[in-house]
Amino acid sequence: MSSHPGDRLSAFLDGELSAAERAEVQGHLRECAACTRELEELGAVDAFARELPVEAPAGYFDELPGRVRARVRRPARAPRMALWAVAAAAAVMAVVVTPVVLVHKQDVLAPAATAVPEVPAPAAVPPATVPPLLQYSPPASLADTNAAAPRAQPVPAKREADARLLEREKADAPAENPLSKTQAQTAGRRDAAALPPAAPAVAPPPAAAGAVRNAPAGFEARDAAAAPTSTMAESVEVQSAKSQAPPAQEAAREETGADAKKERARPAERKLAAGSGAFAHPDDRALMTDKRYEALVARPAASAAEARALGEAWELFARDVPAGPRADEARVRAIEAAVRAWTLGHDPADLTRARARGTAYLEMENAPQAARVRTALAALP
Amino acid sequence: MDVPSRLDAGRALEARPPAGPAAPDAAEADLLARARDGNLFAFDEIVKRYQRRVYATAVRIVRRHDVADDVVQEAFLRAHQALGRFDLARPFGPWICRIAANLAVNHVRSPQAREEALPEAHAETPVRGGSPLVGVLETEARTELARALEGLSADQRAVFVLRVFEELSYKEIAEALEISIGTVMSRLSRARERLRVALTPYLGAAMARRVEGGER
Repeated sequence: MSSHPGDRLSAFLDGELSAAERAEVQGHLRECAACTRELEELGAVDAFARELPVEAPAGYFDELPGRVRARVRRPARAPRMALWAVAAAAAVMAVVVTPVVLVHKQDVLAPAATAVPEVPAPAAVPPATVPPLLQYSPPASLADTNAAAPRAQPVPAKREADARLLEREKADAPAENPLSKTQAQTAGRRDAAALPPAAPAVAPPPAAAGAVRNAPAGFEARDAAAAPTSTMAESVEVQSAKSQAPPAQEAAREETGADAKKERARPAERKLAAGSGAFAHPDDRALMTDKRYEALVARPAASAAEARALGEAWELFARDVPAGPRADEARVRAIEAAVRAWTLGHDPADLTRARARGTAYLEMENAPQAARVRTALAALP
Repeated sequence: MDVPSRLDAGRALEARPPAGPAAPDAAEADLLARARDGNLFAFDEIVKRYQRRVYATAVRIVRRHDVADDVVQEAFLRAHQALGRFDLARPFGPWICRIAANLAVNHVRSPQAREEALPEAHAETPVRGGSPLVGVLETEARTELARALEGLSADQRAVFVLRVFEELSYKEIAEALEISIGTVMSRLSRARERLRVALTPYLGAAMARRVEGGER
């Protein structure tokens, strides 16, 4: 009998042996029951592994495209927190939150945004130095093989506890572009600047404007302006280069300054921008609205704080999308959320809010869901 | 169907079903072309189409949701950045999964990953019995399989995942992970052998099901 194929059985299974080796193994298998059995078992291992389901947390795949999109739009930074963790962290954030955290949490952060609208901006974020261990750089060859980005993107570190997660947030913001202290401090606001409706988008210089034509109008002006012929892959570099050029830096400072003011004035605007205005193409905007609506519908309100936040988020939605059945539904849900917040926490502010929203709704002419609102309000004292 | 002789079974095992959606449809090429030209809406569609597959690849290698999440986002981001160099005539799925696998392995190798705490509960939840008859045994077997996968090195898992789930050739796997074909062969062989040993008590039933239901 020929020698046992050993390691080659696996390759035989995959059809990856040369013709000669293959014939040899086949010959052996005809004589050797043990190896035949082993081959069958190896195949069964594969089949078995394929049956093992992969599960992600509920709602994960609803949120992922939006997060990827956010990163594609502004490739220099990575969203750090899982959205479901954000909900859990909301209470903590209401206390320790900083605008850097706020800015890129978009509409899931209604609780924090409404709870602390007046937090002064960037002083709270020290330009922390990030231990090199947290900065992950795949080998350069990766870029070649996969035709990947010219510069490694950081893969953020693990995040377990909410508190630690917040710490990491603070550390990450400056880490992504450690060019200067100023930039680190304004990192959060820079994100906000990338969201067109809330912030005046950076106006592309005339020379670059032509190059933007092919991109959707809302496509990030920063990239297009600075890199008329570049791919998105280069925009990281582009941004770095830009920030080293004095005039551009000035512009950026102005932009973030204006933005900070706006932020303080109307903290809710940011979320609005992220939710509905980031795309200029009507389809895109509709898509965003759909997503936002669905996300709100799916969002839990297990505690008073969550219910309150959800109510705020619905109100914002109704403000952003003022017409149509969804707006109406949003208004009603905002009322119901406030009622629920009251029921769960008995906070007089929630009671007031619920009544005010309910009254405002019922005062509308032809309020389509007046009966539902009355039912909801009936739960109040 | 008659129970095949062992040799037949061996041959049947060699004949793999074709890999997922092999030829890219025109609609997808169009989406990719638009995404390449900067249409975020088109890229969004691509993400939606492939997110589950890419996530599965990542989480099977890194075994943790949070890390897999990072890997998936990063993979899509890189794919987006590299679309200009991607041949639109080729299927997108295997390509992005290769990127994800590479990132996953590199993450696990990174010093940062070593700093991280012990793995959480199994990423793959052993639930859902096929039939009530095999339910208990199957649950047990799946737990065992999950544990055995956990016991492999990330390098071994990466090779295993790309072969068994993505059905890439050894050459493709070698390129994706920047290793030699010989290394692919030996890692895969060792990975399968370890899994086989761990699962021996359950494989009889699994094989019986395979024979019963024919190849999936």
